[in-house]
Amino acid sequence: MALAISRRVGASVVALCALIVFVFVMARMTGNPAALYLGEGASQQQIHEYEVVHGLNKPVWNQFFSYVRDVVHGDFGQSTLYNAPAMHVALSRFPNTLVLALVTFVLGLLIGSVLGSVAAYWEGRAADKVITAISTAALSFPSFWLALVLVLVFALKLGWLPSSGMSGLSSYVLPIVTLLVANLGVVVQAVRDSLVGVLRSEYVAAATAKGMRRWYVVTRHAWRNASIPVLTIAGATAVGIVNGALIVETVFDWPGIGQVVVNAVLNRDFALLQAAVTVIGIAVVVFNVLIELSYVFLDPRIRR
Amino acid sequence: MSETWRQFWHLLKRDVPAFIALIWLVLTVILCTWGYFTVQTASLRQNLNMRLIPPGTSHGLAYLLGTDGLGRSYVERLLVAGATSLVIAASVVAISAVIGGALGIISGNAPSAVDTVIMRVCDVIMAFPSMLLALIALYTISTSPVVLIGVLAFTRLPIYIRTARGEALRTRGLLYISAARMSGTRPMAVTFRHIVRAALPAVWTLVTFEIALTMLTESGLSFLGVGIQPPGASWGLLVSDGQTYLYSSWWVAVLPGIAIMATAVALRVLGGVVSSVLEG
Repeated sequence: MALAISRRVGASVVALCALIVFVFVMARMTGNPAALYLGEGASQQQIHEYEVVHGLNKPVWNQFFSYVRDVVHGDFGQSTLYNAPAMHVALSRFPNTLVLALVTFVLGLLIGSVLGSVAAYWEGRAADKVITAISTAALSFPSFWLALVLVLVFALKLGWLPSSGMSGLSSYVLPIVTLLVANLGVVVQAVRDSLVGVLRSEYVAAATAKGMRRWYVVTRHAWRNASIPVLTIAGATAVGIVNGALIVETVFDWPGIGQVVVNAVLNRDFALLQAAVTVIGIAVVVFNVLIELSYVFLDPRIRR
Repeated sequence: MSETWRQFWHLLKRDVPAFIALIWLVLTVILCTWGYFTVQTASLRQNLNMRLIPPGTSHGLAYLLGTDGLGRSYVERLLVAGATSLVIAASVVAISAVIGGALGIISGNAPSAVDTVIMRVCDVIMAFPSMLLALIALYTISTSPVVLIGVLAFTRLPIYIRTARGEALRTRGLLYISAARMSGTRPMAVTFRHIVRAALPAVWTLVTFEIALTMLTESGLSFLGVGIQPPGASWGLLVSDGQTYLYSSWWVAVLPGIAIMATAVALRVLGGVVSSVLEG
């Protein structure tokens, strides 16, 4: 199991490094950063001075090594868009996304477990069919569209909730609901399928045969074993929440890191993009470690 | 094969949602193909006197679903955009299914060093948030449909590799494969005649679900402005356009979203039937 932990975390670390190198290469290959920063009216002289000051006239390999050296020292350079240290901008926006992601993750697991268990408990009955249909629909909502429909109904027509921005508790509702819908679809189906499998196993039959009430069997025996594949899938949804945050933060003008990434891309602010990608990458790695550790608590066979 | 089709038809007849899903998909494909070849230029014709007409008013069939902010017929826009969305999703799935399926079969039959390398690369690709990768790649390389298809296909490779590999490992030990080997069939022939054929059902099931997922991702990227570019159109881009008129003219944003969702639901429902026919 120690091997499996290092494998998954290792993959995230490699992915993060590859992404940083990729952003660096692409940043240098597509367009001159100096010309982009200084704008259309810049003279040849100004561009040259900017290049000398920022080391852009050196060979790409030199630039890369000095870039890596700076990154290791925690210096991601200056964000041209916000005119502030890039890492500072990324870190200051990160908590706003983290709140959305954590609430979505926890609510998704709680509600998803309840709905998935109900569906598995009455497998093939009406409740199962309704829940499966709803989760299929939930998986098929384009999240940006759902966000707009929610804004249309609850903000523009009914006026109950703010349509965008981060101001007070009510502004959290629509972004979280949007992120939650897709997340729930995944979790419900994972819980249902996992639990249906466990409920067919022999120890469940044995527990039922010795006269235990069925609901007791589910909560005391089946849940724990069904939870491991669910956690694996829930871990994968963390990556999905990052995808969702890019869109949700754009629609709701939410001052989080997803919005920073989109703005950095649209304004070719590569220092900021690298800082934001690093923060997201580290968050995904940490999250994966936590998921792996929770396996250890759930499955004593792993502790050996 | 005919037996498979008969079984498919048999299941469909008794499954009302799946039947409706099939009809929706067939209609969408036929209408969008027709739209792509006949009304593509008409769909770009602007008429500023006819801006933002709501659906259902009596202006003829072309204005059945109203007009957008530039007075273009929304029926025609939806059909042309649908063709783009479907073609992109189908190309992505075709590319990643063929390459991923082949790599998976290779991985399942190759020496363990090769297998390990392929599986580790899969882990790394899956650790990327796909939307983030696509966003960065599209904006730094270029926002052309070719790059869009390439990036999306790349991010979806691991799931095909894993599925095909699993099938290859499962069948490798089966009796009829050993029999074929022992009776002197060459290894390549065993792979193509038996192992690939045994892996196909699982891949076909995956393909149905993946078209839905790819369509959702493409529409998301187009919505963010890095997917399909105007004057081209995809359903995601139409939703994005509609954002401006959300309050006054809801249909511009809502209709293409319904099209995306209905098609995605239909594919998932049908995927369930495909899975139960092909994989038992």
